[in-house]
Amino acid sequence: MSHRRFAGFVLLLLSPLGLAQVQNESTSPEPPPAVTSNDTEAALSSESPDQDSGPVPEAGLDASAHQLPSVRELLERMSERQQSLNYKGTFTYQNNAGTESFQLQHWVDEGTEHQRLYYLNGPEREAVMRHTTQCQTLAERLIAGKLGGLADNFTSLDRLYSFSVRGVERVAGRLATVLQVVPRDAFRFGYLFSVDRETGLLLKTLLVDENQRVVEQFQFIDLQTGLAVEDFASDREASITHNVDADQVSGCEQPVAAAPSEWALHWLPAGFAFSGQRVVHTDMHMLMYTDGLSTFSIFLDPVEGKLVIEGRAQRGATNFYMQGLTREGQTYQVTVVGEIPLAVAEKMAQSIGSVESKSALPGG
Amino acid sequence: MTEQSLDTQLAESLSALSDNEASELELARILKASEGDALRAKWSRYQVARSAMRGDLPTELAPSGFADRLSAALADEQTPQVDSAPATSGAQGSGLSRWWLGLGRVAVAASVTGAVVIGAQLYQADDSDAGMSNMTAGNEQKTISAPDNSLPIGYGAPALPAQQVSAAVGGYQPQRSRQVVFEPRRADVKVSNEQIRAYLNQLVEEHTDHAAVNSAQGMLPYARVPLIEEE
Repeated sequence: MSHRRFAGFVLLLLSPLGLAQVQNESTSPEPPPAVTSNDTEAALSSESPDQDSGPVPEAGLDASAHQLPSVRELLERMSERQQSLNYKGTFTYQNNAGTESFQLQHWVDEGTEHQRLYYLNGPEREAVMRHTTQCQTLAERLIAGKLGGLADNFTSLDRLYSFSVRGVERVAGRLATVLQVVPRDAFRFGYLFSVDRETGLLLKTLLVDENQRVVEQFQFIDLQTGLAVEDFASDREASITHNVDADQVSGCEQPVAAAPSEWALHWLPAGFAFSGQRVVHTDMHMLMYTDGLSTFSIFLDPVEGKLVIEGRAQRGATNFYMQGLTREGQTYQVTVVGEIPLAVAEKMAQSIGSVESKSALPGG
Repeated sequence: MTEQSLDTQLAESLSALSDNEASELELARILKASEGDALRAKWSRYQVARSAMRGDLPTELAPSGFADRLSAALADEQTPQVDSAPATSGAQGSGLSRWWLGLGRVAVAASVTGAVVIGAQLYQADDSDAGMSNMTAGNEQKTISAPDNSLPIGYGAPALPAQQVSAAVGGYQPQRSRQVVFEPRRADVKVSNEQIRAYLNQLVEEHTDHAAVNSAQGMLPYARVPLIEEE
């Protein structure tokens, strides 16, 4: 752990100081050194692992916040707060082709979590999601480490990613803790999360690909919290509405099977757990996988004749790989979709087969 | 005197001096003004930026790790960004005045300093073959190695990617970010790219339902999908 502590500490020293320095140079003719350095030190010590002796008075922080929170606590808090708080805000989404903006509303009313994403660019449309708060999704359970049953493929999040606190930054006018998440293998992308220090909400996310490049970014530019349910009356109705029932997707009513019933993957990247299967678009099979942070889906679409598409595709952070598969005389179009490295998507597409052949291969 | 109000001419001279190209007149001007704190601060920033750009920033001069971050940010910086700057083209082209060169250098130095502080540059995953070759063919999990603790390329770089916006090549396309870029594996694919895109759009919508529920990021993944071909 000393490695992580050290890295975190160095960066903590760095970022806020660097920022403060430049601001002083460029804006204030007579920089008030006392105030600035105090602020910076307070911000630092509250996060620094070497400062956990003695309470540091600071507004807006939990009593335990002067100690470096464990990553699991931070993530769990982030995941939990994201669901339990009432908030609304505007965020931007940026990828290699441009920037778009969105309005997000989130409120909890009588045990049901409501979310509404309103598109501010292009045709007027919205996505609406409902979720029963008591029904925990697989990702929540993975993050909370509450999955004893899936021993086969599941490994603790700590074994999949290396986490380190990289400092403090200001996002949407709020102080945020920067958490760097580096994958320990080549099977998933990395993240930089900026977590609001006051509420634990996710203010900014950078997705980092296998070549250490940022491929997409979410960032709130404005966020209001602590709102009443009445504040969420929908004033703008979009003509196109995409409704999602999260309970149905996560299948929280029934325990998730450890593996798909009809299909077998001869290779599955470590740490990804099967999170359910659905039938979509009439007869297309969809298999869903998550490691708690990253997700991918495998689609198996029965096609007429033997015409299948082979190739790869990409949009923003999402990679696609398409390939054919024949089972019992029926040809299927296999498509892997996910925010995962393309090479992983390709390997998945090639490794899928029917259940019968599963036992023939070592490791299953 | 704030740094912003620093005499422009002075800034150019300073920049020239940092490249050992200052004339006597400029030197005299700098020396005369060097009592000011703002100028000194600027001078030190020019030095750091210049050293870091050349990769010879001594670590003892930057124990804070500034150099590391800067180097990381600059390591894979696309050269075209610099090439297209007026300073460089001017230097190699017709002999523009020193005045102009100095201005260019100020701009470069300023943008580098600013780059360390904010923003993120987004890169196109243009060459995924590199990623492929990195993957081992084996089924076994890769050994858990010490993670790379450096910040990713692009973190701390200028906010806007160096995109080529050319009127000759298609012009402005508002929906471009929504398009899937498909690359067939065989040349004999008889399905049009449009059909493939529509097909993949359907799938990515379903996938996003899954990602929104199972990735701890709430509704954010929907920002990736267009939702336009909704039934």
